[in-house]
Amino acid sequence: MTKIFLVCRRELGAMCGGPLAWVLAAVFLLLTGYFFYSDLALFVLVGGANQTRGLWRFVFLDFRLVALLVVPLLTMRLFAEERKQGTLELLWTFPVRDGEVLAGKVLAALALYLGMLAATAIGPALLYALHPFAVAPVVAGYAGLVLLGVAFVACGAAASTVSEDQVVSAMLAYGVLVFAWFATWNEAAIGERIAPALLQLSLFDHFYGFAQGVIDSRDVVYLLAFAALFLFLAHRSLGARAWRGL
Amino acid sequence: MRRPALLLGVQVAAVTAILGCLVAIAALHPRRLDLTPERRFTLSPYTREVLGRLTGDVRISLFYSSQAGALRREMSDLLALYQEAQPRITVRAFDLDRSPGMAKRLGVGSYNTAVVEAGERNQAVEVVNEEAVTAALLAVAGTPPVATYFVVGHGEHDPRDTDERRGASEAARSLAAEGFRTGVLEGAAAVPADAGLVVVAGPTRDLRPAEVEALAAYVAGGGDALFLCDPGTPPSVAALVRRFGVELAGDLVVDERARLFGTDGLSARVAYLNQGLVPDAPEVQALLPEAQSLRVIDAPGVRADYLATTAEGAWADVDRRADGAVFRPGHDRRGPLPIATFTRVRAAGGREGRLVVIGDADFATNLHLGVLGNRDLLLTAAELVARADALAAARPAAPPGGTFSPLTLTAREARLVFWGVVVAPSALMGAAALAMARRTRLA
Repeated sequence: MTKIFLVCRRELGAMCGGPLAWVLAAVFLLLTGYFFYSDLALFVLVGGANQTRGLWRFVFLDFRLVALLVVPLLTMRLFAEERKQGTLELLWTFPVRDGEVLAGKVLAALALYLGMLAATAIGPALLYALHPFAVAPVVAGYAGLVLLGVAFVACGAAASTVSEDQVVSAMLAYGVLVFAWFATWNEAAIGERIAPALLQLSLFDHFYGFAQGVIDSRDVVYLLAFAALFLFLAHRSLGARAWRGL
Repeated sequence: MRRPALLLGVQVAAVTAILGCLVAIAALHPRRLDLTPERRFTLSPYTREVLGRLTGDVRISLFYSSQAGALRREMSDLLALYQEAQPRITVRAFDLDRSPGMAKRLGVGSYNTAVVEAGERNQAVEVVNEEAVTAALLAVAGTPPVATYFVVGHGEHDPRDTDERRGASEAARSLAAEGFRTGVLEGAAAVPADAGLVVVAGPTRDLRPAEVEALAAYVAGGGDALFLCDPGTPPSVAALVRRFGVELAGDLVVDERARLFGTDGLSARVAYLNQGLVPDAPEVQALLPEAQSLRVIDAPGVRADYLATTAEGAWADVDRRADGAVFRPGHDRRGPLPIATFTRVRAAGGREGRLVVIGDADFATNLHLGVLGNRDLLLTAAELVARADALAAARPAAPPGGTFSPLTLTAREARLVFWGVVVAPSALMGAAALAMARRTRLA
């Protein structure tokens, strides 16, 4: 466990020591802040009587798009950068296992994402101070964003193990996530037999409930399984060096 | 080289299969934590009561659009709640484009429509929400509809009128959803023989003597009626309800704690419902915009009870002065004040007429029906008076309508949100990024 935290601390230091993480945080907060403000303005003017459906649903659906935009950029350097600079080989000379390296780096990326997500709570907190509201649907929305972040980070980490080019890693992650997102948007184009199975795999469908204030065990299990699959793939991808003779 | 690759392939397939099984198991045994304040994903007590009374099998067929996955899931989840709550219900889902035969058989021509079937009867639901599905269940598998007539012609709220302030079209729609077949009675000189309920909703002009007599004879003969009487109700109507043991006080209930936000109205909160009459009273209280109190008096052949009262803090301004009037000890009346009554009238042949009088009519208008528990109060009163086995539990929350938002922001607050949420955090992070870039360059 200590080794995981050491790797995590080293990774956090590397991320925060350069401008990338701060630029991503600035963009993340600018976009989420703007979405929050515009959704709030829309709700006040024409949003109807239900705050969960009229405000929070749109806020969280918008936040998830920003997460989709930012997280692959956050994770693209996890392994690709090290591979490019040749420091990954150096890391492997230390008495640390692949799983520990992977866990440390994923935890670091997740910590950054959670930090950014926590900063977005300024909006709801400020609104609560001005006009108190029922907090529970907001908790559900943030729970969904946390689980979504875990899934995105896992996918991004797996993509980062494949190439030494950060852009390729980011594009791979985008490809997988956007496909999982839009796979079922046109069911008519999918075979009748495949459609029900694909429906179970749609990231969009599995986040919708959280955005509406409902935590559904199906969504929780799906997002965790999605993350587990990509963490496994990342682990296997790192382990492949042994039989590649690296 | 080939063997490790094969091994990796097997491992990936095995892990994918295990995770797929977990997802499938979770899909088969869903658990839902509904954190919405109105419990939107939990069936209302009213729907549960309706489901509990089903005696036959019911089939619900949903015809969805493959282009609207999120909406389909929302509808499927709702129908699954019905299936979980009542095993007699089976739910099937069809892609409308791929099931034209089934759609034709059930007469469905538009996306996102459900058809509720029980025996030979079926009803289509075009907006699939709890209110509509439960109404369809009642229509096909519940008790027969009650012919309900709204008396008009004396300034009453008209069930055909969609005007926001005066109209009662929402009240008619809500009643229809609960199996009350609503119609209009132009003048009350002759009450139709099939009338199961007569509603007199806020008359402002006197009824003719023949109309008064016809209504009195209808109730005395075992008919059921609902009178909604604003302060200032015409004397002929006051005299009519007086025959059945109810006196309209003609005052104005003042309930400072119930004042509608942003209005100068003197709303009266229905704090207590008679548990003897309504054992499963809804939790949300009704709010009567401008109410008068009622008194139960002795009358031959009738038994009147209080149905609803205000809280102790309310009081009655006997002179109905303007807004801002203060309580005058010894002159005005202190709360709790009765604002609704229920009367049983002995009729010939062992029958029983029933009458509910409520000291306000505005609460049933399109503007106020959706406020707090107003809709529940109207429907509970109608059930109580027209059906022996009243369904009095809390109804599902009405779907959000109109553009009214409960949240208002001042210009200053909006600026605070903009600077505090949009500008400040991102500017701070941007400054940190610049500092880091500079440090990296120097290094």
